[in-house]
Formats: sequence, structure tokens, C-alpha cells
Amino acid sequence: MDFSYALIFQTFNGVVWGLIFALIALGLSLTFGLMNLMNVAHASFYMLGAVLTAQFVTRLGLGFWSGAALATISVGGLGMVVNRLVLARVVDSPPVIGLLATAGLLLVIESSTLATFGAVPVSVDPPVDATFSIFGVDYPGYRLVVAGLAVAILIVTFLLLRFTRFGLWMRAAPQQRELALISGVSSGRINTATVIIGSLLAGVAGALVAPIAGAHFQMGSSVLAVAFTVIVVGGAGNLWGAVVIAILLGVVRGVAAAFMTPSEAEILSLVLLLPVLLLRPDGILAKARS
Amino acid sequence: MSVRTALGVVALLVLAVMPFVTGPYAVFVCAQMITLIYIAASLQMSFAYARILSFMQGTFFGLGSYVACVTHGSGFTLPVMLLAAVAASGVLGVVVGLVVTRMKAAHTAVICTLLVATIVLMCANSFVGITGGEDGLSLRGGSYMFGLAVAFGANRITYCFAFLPLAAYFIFVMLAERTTFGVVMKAVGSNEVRAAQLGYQVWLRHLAVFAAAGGMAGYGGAMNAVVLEHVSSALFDPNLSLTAVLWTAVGGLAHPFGALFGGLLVFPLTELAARAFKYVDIVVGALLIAAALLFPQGIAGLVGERRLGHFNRRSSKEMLAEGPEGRSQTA
Repeated sequence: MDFSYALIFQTFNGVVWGLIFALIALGLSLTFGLMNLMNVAHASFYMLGAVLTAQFVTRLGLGFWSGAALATISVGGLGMVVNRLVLARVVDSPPVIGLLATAGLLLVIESSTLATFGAVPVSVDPPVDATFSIFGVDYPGYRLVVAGLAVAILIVTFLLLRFTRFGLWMRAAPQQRELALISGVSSGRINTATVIIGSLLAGVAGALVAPIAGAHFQMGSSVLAVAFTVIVVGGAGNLWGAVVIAILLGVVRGVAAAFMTPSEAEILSLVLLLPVLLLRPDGILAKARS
Repeated sequence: MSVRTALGVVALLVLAVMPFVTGPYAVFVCAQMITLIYIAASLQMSFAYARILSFMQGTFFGLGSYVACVTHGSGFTLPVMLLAAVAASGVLGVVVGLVVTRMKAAHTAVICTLLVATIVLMCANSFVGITGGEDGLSLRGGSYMFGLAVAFGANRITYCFAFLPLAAYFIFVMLAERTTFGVVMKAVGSNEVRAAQLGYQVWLRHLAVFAAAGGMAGYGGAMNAVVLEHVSSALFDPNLSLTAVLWTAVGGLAHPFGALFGGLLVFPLTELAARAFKYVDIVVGALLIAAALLFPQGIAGLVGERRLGHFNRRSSKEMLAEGPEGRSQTA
């Protein structure tokens, strides 16, 4: 009875974390797939979303939702600045240059956060205290809200990319930049929008995580390899492949956590990705189209 | 002799005489720097000759440190410690290399090395009973090498054990540059399709280079453990690999001396900055951004093949677009 309770509970946890990974991975996949830029600094946007939310709530006394919204917008703004100062200058360079510049950005943002807010992890009270009984398991209501919000954000992003003119430009410009330009679509503006949307997705993921895992200046590094691996396994450039793999990874991690410690489950879930990289180095969903 | 080679030789000569003309503190700092240059040099080797920008050179380094520590704890002498460190890191290099050398896209290999580095860091932090976690393990006392007593810590003997193999590597690369072996290695790193068409075993050479780079970083890690007399799970932090990337980027990714130049410039700078400014990673990150934006070919690229006042007129973007030794870079 105890084991089945733990299994169901951890599976729910896995789904929630999978959806959070999906938000991060989708943002990363946007800059990678549409701009061909390996934005290592994406992890620091996620971290900043959590840290700023925690600071807005604990220091400024804002409510959680307003703090999370403000933090997300701030991260989006930072994304715009970072794009103007650094990313726009390396987007057409060889991949290694983008990698070096964004790795530098990661260090600058992480260390600046440490210098400004300190190294002590900050916890945030979840805005929803209630628990819900599902399959006989009392599950925290906030995590269900996070799952619902994550699904809603993913759907909105999908609709934006699929059914709006702007989404069409975003998908078309990377394929034919010159054609896009003579059609009046500035690839520079498209890139700016891509970075802003990507950073907003990372920022909101961080904001939503703050009441679950707390906020710490190094929390971005822990998701960096996971997010990158997810987009490769999902098929580079395949936005929705990354989302699917992220959710699957979360579920595997959640189920494994019922049998072992969370750290061991995390290691196992990453180790399982290695054979996939060996057998399908271009991703298991590489042929699918986003 | 090009300006770049001359600068490299001068740098090696300065490092060679350093322990005999300076005090213990300078020897300690330089010995530490030299062990860390192994990471940068191995990264450069991996990038230039195997087309893999590895984010796990710090992992090889950390593994070498731990293997040296464990073998010393088991009563083995220094040669065994160093050989075991090189062998363990080399074997890990072969295992990971079997995966990453198959990957056609450069970014996939980078991500795979980052994934392995993350897994190893998690394991090191989880299995505290073995690794000592962030507190780490001590490596006290000394050892023997062919009957010669070697005290651990920073001293002239350990300095020589750290410096001489590194110097030998740089001299070997310099001398091999124009030999058949050197040209072939450049070819498999520059244009693997053309090299394969000429009948060379490109994949096998990439694998051998990646494994050798792992072994090299492992040796540096072992000597780091010997010099600092301490190992900890922090050695597996990808930030260490990132530091190596910075050194190599500042020095020049495309040329072996880039790792040496980068280490000699950035290590003292960050050490000095750390005295004045607590959050030195901000400086490191800013340097990395500046290196990428302003001089992506690094110092080695800036001085280039200049002889008697001739400048390399190619732009930095052109040089990086061609990649190490003129190869075409595609994601």
C-alpha cells in the first residue's frame, strides 16, 4: 500500500517536473532550432525566474502570482537586453562562438545573482495550500496548478507558432533569411522575438518551480545538461519532440524515485539517455516536423 | 619560426626556470596553473584533431585526481598513481569517444560531453562515502619514483613532474607540425571527408585523439592532486571545464599554444582579480564574452603565422568559420 502510494505520488511529481522541463526545453529549442544558437545562458534565465520570484515575494512582500509575473517579465526584458548586447552579434557566427559567448553570459548572470542575492537558498510558500485526493493519493494542489499552467503555456506557444502570422515568420525566416528579408520580414526582429519568448518560457518555469524546489543561484546548472539532451534526443530543431521527451524524462525520473533516492533517480534518468544518443545521435524524433 | 611559435617557446622557457628562481609560493601557484593547463591543452587537442568541443575535460581531470588519490591510499608508488590516472581517464575517453565520435553534428557531441560531465558530478556528490563529496579526500605524505622520494605538495620535484610532460607535448606538436603524422592529424581534424577519401581512418583517429586528450587531462588531474594534496567532488564541476574553454578561447582554439597562452594570461588575471573582487566569475564570464565577440581566434590567432611584419589579413570570423586549421564548421 505504501509502495503504490509512493509510486503514484512520484509519478505525478514526474509529470509535473516533466512539464517544467518541457517549458525550459521549448525555450531552448526555439533559440536552437530557429536561430541555430546553443544558448547555454538559457539555464540562467530559468534560475533568475526562480530567484527573482523568491526575492519579490520575501523582500518586497508581493503576492506569489504578482511576484512570479514580475519576475517572468523581468527575465523576458533581460533576454531582450542580452540579445541586443551579445546574442545578436553571434547569431550568424560559427556555433562555437555562440557557445563561448553564451557560456560567458551564464557565468556573468550566475555570479551577479550570487553577488546580489547571496548563496543561501530561498524558499517560497506555495500560493495554493489545498491538497487533492487522486487515486487515493493526497497530492499538493499547487503542483496540479503548475501542471495545468505549464500545459496552457505550451498550448499557447504552439498556437502562436502555428496559427499566427508572426509564428509563420518565426518558422520561415530561419529557412530562407534572404527571402524573408525581401518579403519585409526582418530576421533581426524575429530573432529578438525568439529570444524573448525563449527567456519568458525559462523565466516562468523558474517562477513556478520556486515554491516547489526553492531558489538558488546554481539551480540553472542542474537543468542545463538535461535541457540540452532533451532537445537533442527529441531531434534538434523539432520543438515538440523536445517537449515530448522532457515529459517522458520527468515521468521516468518520477517512477524511478519510488524505487530509489531522488538523486539516484535523477542519475538513472540521465544515464538512460546515453544509449539513445548512441543509437540515434540525431534524435529519436528527428524526422518529425514541428 | 613564426611569432606564435617563438612566444610559445619563450613561455615554456619561463615556466622551466620558474621553480629555480622564485620562492615556494610562486612554485605553488605555477604548479597549480600548469596542472590546469592540461585541461585546456587536452580540450584544444580534442577540438583541433577530433572535432569535439568537449565540456567534460574537467571530468577526466577529476577522475585522474581521484584515481591518483585512491591508488596512493592503496599503497602504490607515484609511477603507478600517474599511470593508473592516465589509464582510467583514457578508458573513460574511449568509452565516451565511442559515442561522441559517431555524432555528425558538432552540437550533439558537445551536449553529450556535457551530459556525461553532469552525470559524473551527480554521482560524485551522491556517493559521498567513496568521493568524500565536497569535503573531499586528502593525499598526505609522499611517494617514491624509481627509488627517489617525492614529497607531495608544491616543490621543485612535483613541479617538474607536472611541467615536463606538458612541455614535451607542446614541443612534440611543434616538431610534428610539418611531418606526415602532423599533416595527417591536421587533415582528419580539418576535413574528415577529404581525409577519409584519401584512405585515412578518420573515425579511429578521432577516437584515439579523444581518448588521448582524456588521458592527458587525467595526468594533469593526478598531478593536481599531488600538488594540492587534496581532491573533492568540486573537481567534476562542469565549471572547471568551462574555465578550460575560456583559457583555450582566449589563447586560441585553433592552435596548441592557445591553451598555454590562455592559461598564462587568464590564470594570473583571475587570481589577481580574486584578491580584489570576491565574485571573480563575473570577470571570467565577461572575458569569455569579450573573447568570443572581439577576438574569437584568440591570442594564437592574433599573432598568427606572422613573420617579419607580415600580418594575417583574414578577419576573425573568416578564421573561425574555417575552424581549426582551416576546416569548415557546420552545426
